[in-house]
Amino acid sequence: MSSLPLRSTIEDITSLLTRTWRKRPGFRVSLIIMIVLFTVAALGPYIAPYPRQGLGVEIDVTNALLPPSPKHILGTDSLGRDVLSRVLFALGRGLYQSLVVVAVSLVLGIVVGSFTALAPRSIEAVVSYVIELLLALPSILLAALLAILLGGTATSITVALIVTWFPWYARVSYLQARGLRELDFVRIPLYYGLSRAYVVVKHIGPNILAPMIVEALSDMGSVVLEISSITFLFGIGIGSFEEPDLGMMVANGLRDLVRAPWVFTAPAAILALIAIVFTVFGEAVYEEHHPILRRRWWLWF
Amino acid sequence: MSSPLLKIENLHAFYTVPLGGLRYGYRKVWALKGVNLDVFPGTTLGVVGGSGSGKTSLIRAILGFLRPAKGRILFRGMDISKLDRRRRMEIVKEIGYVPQEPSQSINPKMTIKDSIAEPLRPLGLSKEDIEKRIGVVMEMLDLDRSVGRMLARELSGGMLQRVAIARAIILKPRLLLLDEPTSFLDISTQAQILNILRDLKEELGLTYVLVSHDIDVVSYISDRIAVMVSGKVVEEGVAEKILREPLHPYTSILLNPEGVAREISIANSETDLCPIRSWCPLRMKKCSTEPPPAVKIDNEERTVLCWHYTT
Amino acid sequence: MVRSEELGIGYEHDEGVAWVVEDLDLEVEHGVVTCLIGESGCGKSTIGNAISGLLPPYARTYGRLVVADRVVIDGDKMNFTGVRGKVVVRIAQDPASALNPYLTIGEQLSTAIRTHFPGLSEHDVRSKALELLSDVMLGEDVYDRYPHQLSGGMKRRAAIALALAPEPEVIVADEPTSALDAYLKYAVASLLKKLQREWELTLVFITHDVSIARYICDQVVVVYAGRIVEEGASPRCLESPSHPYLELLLKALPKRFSKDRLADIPGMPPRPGMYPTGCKFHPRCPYVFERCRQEEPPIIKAGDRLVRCWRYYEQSLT
Repeated sequence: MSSLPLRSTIEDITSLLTRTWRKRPGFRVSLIIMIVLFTVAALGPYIAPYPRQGLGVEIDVTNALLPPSPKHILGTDSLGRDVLSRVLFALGRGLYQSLVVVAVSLVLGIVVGSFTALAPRSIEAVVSYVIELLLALPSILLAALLAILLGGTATSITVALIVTWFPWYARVSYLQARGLRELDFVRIPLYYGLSRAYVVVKHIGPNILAPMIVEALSDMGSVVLEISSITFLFGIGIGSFEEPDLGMMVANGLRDLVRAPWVFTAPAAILALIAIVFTVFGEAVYEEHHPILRRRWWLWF
Repeated sequence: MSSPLLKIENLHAFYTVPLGGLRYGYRKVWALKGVNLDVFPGTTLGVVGGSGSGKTSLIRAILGFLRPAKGRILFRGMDISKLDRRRRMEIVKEIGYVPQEPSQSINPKMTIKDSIAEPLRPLGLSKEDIEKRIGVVMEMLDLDRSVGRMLARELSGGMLQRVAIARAIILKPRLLLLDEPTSFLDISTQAQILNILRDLKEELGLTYVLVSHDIDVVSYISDRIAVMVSGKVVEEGVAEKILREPLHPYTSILLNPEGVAREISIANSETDLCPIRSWCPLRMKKCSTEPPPAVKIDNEERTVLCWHYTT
Repeated sequence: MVRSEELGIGYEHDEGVAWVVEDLDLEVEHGVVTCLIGESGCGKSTIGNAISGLLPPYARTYGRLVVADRVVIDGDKMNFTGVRGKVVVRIAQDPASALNPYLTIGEQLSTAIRTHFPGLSEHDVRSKALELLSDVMLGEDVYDRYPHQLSGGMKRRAAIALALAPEPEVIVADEPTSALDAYLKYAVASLLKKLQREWELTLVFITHDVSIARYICDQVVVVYAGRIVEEGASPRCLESPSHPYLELLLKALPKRFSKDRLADIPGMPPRPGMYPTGCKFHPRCPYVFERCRQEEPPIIKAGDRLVRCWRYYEQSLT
């Protein structure tokens, strides 16, 4: 009907972000770097000096393992491909993949979580157990399993990560929805005979969306890392050696670490940068949202 | 006398709560232990009691939020706790509900107009019809048209409570259940809401069940008063008479709390014995062995749950 | 005992400072129960927090506040060292939340006593703790019990005993009766009154409940929009109010045997930082005239009390 509720959620998020911006220098730095990273990733295919090598369809064994030079700013890898072009392509794919994972898991999690909270007791219990079961699955093993089942593509990794990430969001939104279901503004429409779907869409969804987005923002970094560790360990699958992917590039570069350290360093540095920047960004937003968790990092030492 | 609009017979209900500590399991906590009440059309029944007396549970049981374990809730002669879904929807239109805390009863992410119109949704009315009815109730409650486009956080508690009342009366109910409608409000806003409630009753010929911990609030708009302690109605009768001459010792304390000035305890145990037997001035031997009987006095006009008044 | 001179308290926010309390001249004498009465958002809790030294770090002040002959607020400087938690203590709405569930009542009391009176022998500490318990009408057996073994009322009393351990001179009780059933309200109020009398304490009792105020107080201070609008040395001004706000407020309370229509105070109390010009009550006042809109009235002596209203100005001159 009216777009006001949605607007108020967006306002909540933007006001949280501006507040964090004002108060936290770490957030400012990480946000700027993130914007740069996303811009570079979006432009990557157009600014890459050797796009065909970057994509992996062209190899040039004669130029293998060349050190950085004006022609190949970051050198070349064991198959003679320009590392800069590879990194530019891989960055875009990695970020896109993690965005998809977080967005899909978030929506799926909110839907599953809020319906579970309103479902009859027996269904509620069963679904909660299933969610907990999924939480116990290690994502890396699941990805390996799915890679075998789905034939080893980037999609299988994305699906595996969604299957292991959405239960987190489902559980958090289930707990939040459980708090809401006792409130009168949820009980009254049910009393007047409105459907559960209506209540979820109109009452529960809008009220848990903002905190759930905050939750998701702080998870982006972990997702990028998880994708890369999977590809680092298993690759993307059989016959996908050409695909640009940061985790796999690190794994391949590791073999030539002594002879050609540049092959390893460039993707590893980008990966570390993404992980650090996303984590700093996420933590800053999360702590601003839950002020009680401020200084939580003391606990790490 | 006409037949009651709402009749509650021997109503029992319980909550399940976790055992606590490190033990796993649940136990029953009885919130209502045999409540009998009659509400006649066009009158107001005020239900007074302290915290944990079961007065909110009574409202929740009538609404169907709390399932009765025993007993009946008759609305126009029909037991509404045992109706199928379709018949229930018919009854629901005639019973409105105004909850306690306005900030929890209005969705903060929804416009006020949508909140007020919510009970109309399942009816499938036309858009103009809905607009018209929203306009009527908002005018009744002195709410400005511009309020309809706002969100809950832009309004004060008193305004929100008016919105909650508007939502409750938009289906033109016969019975309105009011659960502490003013306990979260300041004195001046409380007066506004109480005046509105009194006017609405005149205008629409409503019947109220008003629950409150404040006996002065109850006395302002009630025709009859029921005093609840520990899940039971210990005294029920015409408001004026109860206020002037309370019979049950607990009622006297509610009316004159300055007189106690010491802490007294209400036994919330599972037994059916009188909950105030440990300090009651009218205590008899029977009180600690047998549950008190409901004694009718004043030509059946008044009920007291106390051994003292058995002849 | 507590004296403020043109005290102002505000809170910093994004666009500046919202002044919640302005030009407060309050005087509380030793051994008196003063009630601060007002509706939510009028600034009564802020005054209470200022007296007990519990203002948050983003609070801003001007004027002076003197507690027990110590200047604690001077301009925008605050110094509560040696006063907070020693000379002044605050009892919050739910005092029982101050108890540690993992220590016995005795351990908590003796820790507090040892902190404030170093050098006492263990025997003296114990006897002092038992004395405190008997002051709040708890038996000696409570000394060795844990909070969860006590009833709600006993916990509340034990927490009050804990607050009294430093032997304060001033107690600020912020809405100690608000969430309680009627008969418990009076039990708590009468306990505080008894302690106040026996210990010759100064009690600042913050409440919105007029009947409790009438029961406990010696001096009444009515607060509206961060100002004192009426002040009287006896609960009498709750019977015959002078300021229009108090008059309407009392008429808005339901009376037991009267079904007369309650007074409607039109509108709502102003929010801090958005106070109207002139008299802060003028938009809601039935007696408003031109001067009220333009100029804020000073505190005026009218008979046995002080009133902030232009209607009493003429008669005060003669």
